[in-house]
Amino acid sequence: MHRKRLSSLALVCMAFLQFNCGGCDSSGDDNIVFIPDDDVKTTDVNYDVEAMNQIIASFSSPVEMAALLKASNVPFSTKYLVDPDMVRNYTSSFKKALGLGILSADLGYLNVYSKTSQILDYLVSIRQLTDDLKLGQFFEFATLKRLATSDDNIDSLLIMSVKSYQDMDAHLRNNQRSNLSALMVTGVWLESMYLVTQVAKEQPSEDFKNTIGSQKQVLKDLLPLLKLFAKESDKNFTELVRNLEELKDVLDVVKIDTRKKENVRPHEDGVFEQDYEDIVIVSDEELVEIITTTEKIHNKIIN
Amino acid sequence: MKRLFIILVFAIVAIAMSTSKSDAQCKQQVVYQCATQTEKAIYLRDFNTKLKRDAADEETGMKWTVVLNKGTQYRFSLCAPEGFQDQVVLTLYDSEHPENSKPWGSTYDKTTKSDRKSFDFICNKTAMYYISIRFKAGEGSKKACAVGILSFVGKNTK
Repeated sequence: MHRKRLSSLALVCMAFLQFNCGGCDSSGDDNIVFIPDDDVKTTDVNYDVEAMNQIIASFSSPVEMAALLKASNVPFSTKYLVDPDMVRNYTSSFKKALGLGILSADLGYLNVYSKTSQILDYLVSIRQLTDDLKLGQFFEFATLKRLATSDDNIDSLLIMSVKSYQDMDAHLRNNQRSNLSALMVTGVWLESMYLVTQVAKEQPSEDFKNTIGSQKQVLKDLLPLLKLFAKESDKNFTELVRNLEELKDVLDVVKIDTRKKENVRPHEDGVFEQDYEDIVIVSDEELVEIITTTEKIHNKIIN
Repeated sequence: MKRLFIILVFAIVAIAMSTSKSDAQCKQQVVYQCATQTEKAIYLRDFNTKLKRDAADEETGMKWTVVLNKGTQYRFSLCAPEGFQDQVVLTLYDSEHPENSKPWGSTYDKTTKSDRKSFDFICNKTAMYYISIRFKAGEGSKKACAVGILSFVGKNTK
């Protein structure tokens, strides 16, 4: 009898711990079982996983480049976007994770430009990818679909879409699937780079040259991460690294000088401006080379 | 003995359920509320954390890395449940502008000892930066939660 009571107490204590740990993890996904990916090797190389995960999480939000384009008064165009039906041909987890990042950036673009009528096709394709990658629990398709059909809820739709992306990314990193998280982040970055280079192709400006040339710094941080996975003799990662190294070679030509900034806005009203700035120098020929290489790699990856 | 056992079981279950409930509120309500309070800025991502400390002088909190792009004006907002707002601080910094000496921006002005809900940062250099959310030195309850929101304000045209 005494033993029975102790067992009950132990069960209650376990329940207590379970409840409290539900709040320990930012992704809130403690009950989800890790399912290994068939075609992408799990990470077992020796490096600081926490530091690596921090770096993966630091890359741009899927809406940032779209926000910049809209702020630059670039008109909306569907011609920059990937056909959402294309993901039906993706069979490997590698392609699906990259595709999820690419479509998330396109969804961000549609959200920022409030093009709710076109969003549904992207939501359907993203749902397919998230289900295949066992991430469906973070993608509330029904709610997103409802928000997409009402123009009044565009802010909620944007917030919820980005939040879903963040939760999926965090879940992958917290469950030894950082390789897929790195692919999602790469997909977002590559699609964002593609969007801005396609716009610059039609409307070249110093602002876009600055934005594109500055991505040299971002790729410099992204590539070593991908190389960690390529080291595990995964041929998909090796191929991806090879492609992005080609882009890095082109971006390396861009000169970036850091100088003291004149006319810095005074620190008032809670606005802080950096007192130095990067001067990004990209010639017209270099810009064309970056645009062409980005387009080539982007098209190779989405097909 | 039997009565004591039953009381103990109920007490543990009650504590477990109330803790879980307050955690869930902190996660969902605060994030969405905070994200929709950024006025015309576009929500980019959030930094969600639970703060816990055992002693008043203990440094507690969390830090994240974030890539910010040149030519962009960002907004950093901080939200915490009622009663905790003036105990928590969000700071933006990097290795050359350390968190405790000269950060790029903060929701707490050490000079005037005043809090602000948000601050804007005009980024002139594409690089990796750090965000931290911590209890203020010497202040703060044993447990709290807080959410930082990063949003896009616009291009810096100057």
